[in-house]
Amino acid sequence: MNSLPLEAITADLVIKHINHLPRPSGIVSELLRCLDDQNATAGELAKVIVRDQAMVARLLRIANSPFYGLRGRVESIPNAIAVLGQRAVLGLATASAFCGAFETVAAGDFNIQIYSRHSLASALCSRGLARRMGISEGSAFVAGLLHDIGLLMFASAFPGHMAAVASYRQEHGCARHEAELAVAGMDHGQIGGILGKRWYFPAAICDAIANHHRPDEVDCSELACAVHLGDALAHAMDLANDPQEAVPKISERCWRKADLAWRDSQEIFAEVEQEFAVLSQALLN
Amino acid sequence: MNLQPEDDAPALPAGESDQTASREQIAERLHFLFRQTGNNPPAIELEQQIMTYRLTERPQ
Repeated sequence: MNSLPLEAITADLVIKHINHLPRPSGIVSELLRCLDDQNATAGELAKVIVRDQAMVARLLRIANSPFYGLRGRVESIPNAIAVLGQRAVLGLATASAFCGAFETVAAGDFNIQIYSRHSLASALCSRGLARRMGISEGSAFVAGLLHDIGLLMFASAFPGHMAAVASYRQEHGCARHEAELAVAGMDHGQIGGILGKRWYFPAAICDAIANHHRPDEVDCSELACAVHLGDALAHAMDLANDPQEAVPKISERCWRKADLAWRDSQEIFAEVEQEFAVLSQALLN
Repeated sequence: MNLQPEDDAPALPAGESDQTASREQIAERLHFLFRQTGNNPPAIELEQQIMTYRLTERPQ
């Protein structure tokens, strides 16, 4: 390995290397616009989704799965929106667009399957928490889904930094984001926030992505708190098939903000496990 | 997320096999999952919650 010190990762450096990642499709931008626009109608959402027939097929397969209790009765996207709800279909469509979009990202020990499974589990956990915190479930699902997108940048554009982060973790036994700060001066959340802004994701989603590992260092939003906790729950639920899975430290402020009763957490675990089985089968296989 | 090898992980397969895993195997895996949280009170509470779920509440 090169013994020269690694260059600190800055916002400018991230932008300079942004083409290492495939740019999200136009449909993703339009889905996120629908998420951000409180006045977006079901008809507008359906028009976006039907432009991608593979997405339509995946969504109908999901909507007709036994989990949703509608087996064989959902025949079209407008029908799916009517029975599952606009926000739920929006989240599923975004997951459908993103799962598989980065399959070509490969570097060192980076494992895209573990990444995708953790992202999906985090989306479901963040949404379950958001429901109980009284904030937007749709935004929490999408922010949870995209919260680790900065890791893709580490893997594709900064493999030297990624290897150094792994060595640092071996030496210090610390969490990944702590090693990233020490080695690169920026963690994958902050990098993801920069990518999101560049790709015109809604500001609230960018904020949640950027701050999911540092909710106490900034005056972060409730959405960022939900994603911070959703990430921790997803690690704790151990759904990613990662042999080296580890739960990060949890912000006491966020934990108090969610104020989860024991029964709530048990319900979230059950809901997430059941829906994860359906979605991972439909989207990740 | 954690994508790099560290030390020897307990072998409980993730998620799918709790119903056949012993209480000790479940506890060992959870202890491994929470190895980086130290005395973080929310993490301690979360570990207890998920342990309860794994052992008593999980739908069969």
